[in-house]
Amino acid sequence: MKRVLAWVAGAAVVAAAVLLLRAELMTVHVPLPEGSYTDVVLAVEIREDPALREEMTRGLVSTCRLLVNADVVEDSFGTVGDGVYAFRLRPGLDEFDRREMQGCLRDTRVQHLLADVRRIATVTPEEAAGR
Amino acid sequence: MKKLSWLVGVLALLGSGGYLFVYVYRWEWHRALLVGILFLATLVGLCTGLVVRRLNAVAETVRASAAAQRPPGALERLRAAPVESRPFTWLRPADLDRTHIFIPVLLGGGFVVSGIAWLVERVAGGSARAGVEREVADQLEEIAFPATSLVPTEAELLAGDDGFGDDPALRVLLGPAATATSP
Repeated sequence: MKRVLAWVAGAAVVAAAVLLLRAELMTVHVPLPEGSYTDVVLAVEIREDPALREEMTRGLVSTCRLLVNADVVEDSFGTVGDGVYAFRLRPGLDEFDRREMQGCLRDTRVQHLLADVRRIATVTPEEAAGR
Repeated sequence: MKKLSWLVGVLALLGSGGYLFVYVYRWEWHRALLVGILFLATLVGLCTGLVVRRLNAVAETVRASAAAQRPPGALERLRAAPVESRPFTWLRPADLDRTHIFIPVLLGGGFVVSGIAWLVERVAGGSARAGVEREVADQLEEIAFPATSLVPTEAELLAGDDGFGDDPALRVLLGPAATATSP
């Protein structure tokens, strides 16, 4: 009886995990107002020459922005602090695209580079006018 | 030590499975792939260990049961048993009235009958050959070619150019040449 209960509990956990993944990994597109954009702040550590850090980060951003079909706004890529970079994406990313973008930036796509997303937020024109 | 190995394996399986779920949840596909490979390798290793452990248990059970059922002192009993060697028991006078004698008699009878058949075949072949050869020779003489040729030679044709034209059978034998030269 205990063994049956253990199997049932395991199956329930797996089913709940699959349902959760299904809900979180949906690739639906939520329409955003025209003119919205997404700001990203990124902290980067590398095991290479520090002079290559910005170049490697730009390569990572160029790779990841293709997944969400958004462009980096021209001259928006800049250094915020030591190893911290910020850039802006247009058009703005909805919730699911933000998750995908964040996962891509945190992933080990570029060797010897680890990135942590400090901030990722989508700003609509109304929000920008209210600031 | 075995328990520690199993504990490490189970922990590795649970950890890699958990991280696999977390990385997929975070959209970190490269990390998820690496952890997934580790998860699969751990799973295969643990399953292999389970199968090997079960096989060892079965082997131990079989070995124990075989040892328990084996009667002790088998070699001594074999050596103590009287050795009885009775070759050709069917030749013994006491056994002649039994069916043991049937097969040797059958074999010997077959040998004798084969010899008689061979002798009959030889005698029949020797007596029949002379008559058969004579009959064949007579038949061959009847269908043999005549000593003289059936067709006149070219010299004979030239000598009697118009002599064979009257014989249709001869024209057939001579073929187109005779037909062309016939009137």
